[in-house]
This record gives sequence, structure tokens and C-alpha cells, in this order.
Amino acid sequence: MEFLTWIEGTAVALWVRESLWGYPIVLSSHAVGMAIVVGMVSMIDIRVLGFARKIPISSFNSLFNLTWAGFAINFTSGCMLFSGDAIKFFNSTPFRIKIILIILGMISVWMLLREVKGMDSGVSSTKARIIAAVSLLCWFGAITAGRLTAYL
Amino acid sequence: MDITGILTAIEASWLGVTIRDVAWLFPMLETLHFMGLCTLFGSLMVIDLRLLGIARFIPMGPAMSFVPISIGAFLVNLCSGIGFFCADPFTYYPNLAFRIKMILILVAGLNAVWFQYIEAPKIKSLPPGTSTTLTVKAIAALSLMLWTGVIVMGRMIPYLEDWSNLQ
Repeated sequence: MEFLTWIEGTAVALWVRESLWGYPIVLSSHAVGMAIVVGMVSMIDIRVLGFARKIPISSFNSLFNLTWAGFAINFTSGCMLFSGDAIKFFNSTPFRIKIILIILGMISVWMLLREVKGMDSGVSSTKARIIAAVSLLCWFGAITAGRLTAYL
Repeated sequence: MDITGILTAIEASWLGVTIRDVAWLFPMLETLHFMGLCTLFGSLMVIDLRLLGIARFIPMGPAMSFVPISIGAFLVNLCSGIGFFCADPFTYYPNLAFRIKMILILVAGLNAVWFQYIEAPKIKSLPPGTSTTLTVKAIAALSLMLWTGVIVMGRMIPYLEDWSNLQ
């Protein structure tokens, strides 16, 4: 708890909480990063699930660096938003669920990329499809939990 | 009827009353709006980054099969967006960020229509690895920039009510 209080007192936290544009700018960055990460991951997921089978899965590789950039934006902006109201977020159940879902989502993306490596043919394995479905549920679940964090 | 009359009627409409009265409806619509924006932006990234040449190994024809996903996601967001507006029209209508967002959506829509009807038919059979024209690249870059602007302006609605906020 002392640690959370310390976070709330840092310069970054003060800027997010009290400056005129700090919070809206960080919040907007978080929304753009979300669109990049969840947008890109969900398109790869539906490709593995069987949509647009003519696209070789490896051709998505060049888009994956962008997904990492989106994740970096959201990790940074997420930490900043957390610092502004650390005690509230730490004790929020939807927020905790969101973080768990993001971690599970990242693990599923990592597993998916391993599973489909070198498998460019139209239909993906059942295992790959199950992982893709889990990934979709995790990321869309994280969005739901994130929204609920503002209400509960 | 003047604009105040129209907004009053929207506010008193069944949709507006229901969304205000049922506590979980607004958060649920917001969640759908967020899911829709991710799906819309994701599908546009596949198409636009292919057109820009960044994802040039995606074959052009199948990349275009993401267009119906963009349209579907846009419709989800149009419907949920109409829901927000009906719940609180007097807040949204004069809001500066909301107005900029609507203009950006309109321009992005015209950009997409131009692409779909004038440029897309010319490039449908482009093989993987080939480059598109400068016009097509400009359209794709504009599309990504406009939709990023739409997301930012949407998030700014509570913070950018009018010009006086800009100080």
C-alpha cells in the first residue's frame, strides 16, 4: 500500500492527474494502442479460424512489428494511467481481471505464432484454431473488463 | 422544427429513455463500440498496410475480403453510436470533439468510397509482392490517419467540449 501511495505521488502521476491535457492525451494513446493490438491480433485469429484462407499466415509477419509497437504504447500509457489512481485500480476487481486476460491473451498469441510457424497452407490445425479462439476471447474480454473498470 | 426541438424529441425517444433508464445498457454499448473500433481498425490495417506496401506479401484479392468486416464493424459502431447520441443529445450535439469526429468519419467514408469504386477495380488482380500506385498509397495512408483521428476525437469528447477548452 505504501508503494501505491508512492506511485500516486510521482511526477508522472501528478501530470496525469492534475495537468489539463495529461489525462486526455494518455487516454487517447491507450485507445489507439488498443485498436492496433486487438485489431491486428483479432485479424490473425480469424485468419487462423478459417477466414480469408488464401492469405498465407506468414504474410502477416510484417504486420506483427506494428502490433508490438501498439503493445508498447499501451503498456506505457497503461502504467501512466495506473499511476494517476494507483490505489483505486489496484483494488478494482474488473481491473485485475483485465490484467489477467491481457497476460493470457499474450501467452495465447505467443503460442499461436509458434503453432502456425511454417504452416502457410489454407487450413490451420485444430490446436491452432483453439488457441486463436481463446486469444479472441481473452482480448475482447480484456476490453469488456477495461470498460467495466470505469463503472464498478 | 428547430434544432432544439429535434434534440428534445431525440432525448424523449424510446431509445434515449431506455438507454438512460437501464443502468447496464450504456456500458454495454460502450464495450460493443470499443470491440467494433478494434475490428474496424484491424481490418483496415490489413487492407491499408497491404496497399502501402508494408504487408506486400498479402495477396491483393484476399486482402480485399476484409472489406465486409470493416463495413460490419462500422455498422456496429454506427448503431451503438446512435444509442449514445439518443441518450444524451444535448451533450453530444454542441461538443467540439464530437463534431470533429463526425467530420473525420465523413471524410474517411468518402475516401473509402473513392477507393472502392475508382481504384479497387484496377488493382484487384495484383499479385503478391507488387507495388500499388502513389494515388492508392495516399488513399491508404489517409484512411489510417483519419480513423486514428476518429478514435482520438471520440476519446476526447468528455474533455474537449468547445473551443474555450483549448485556451
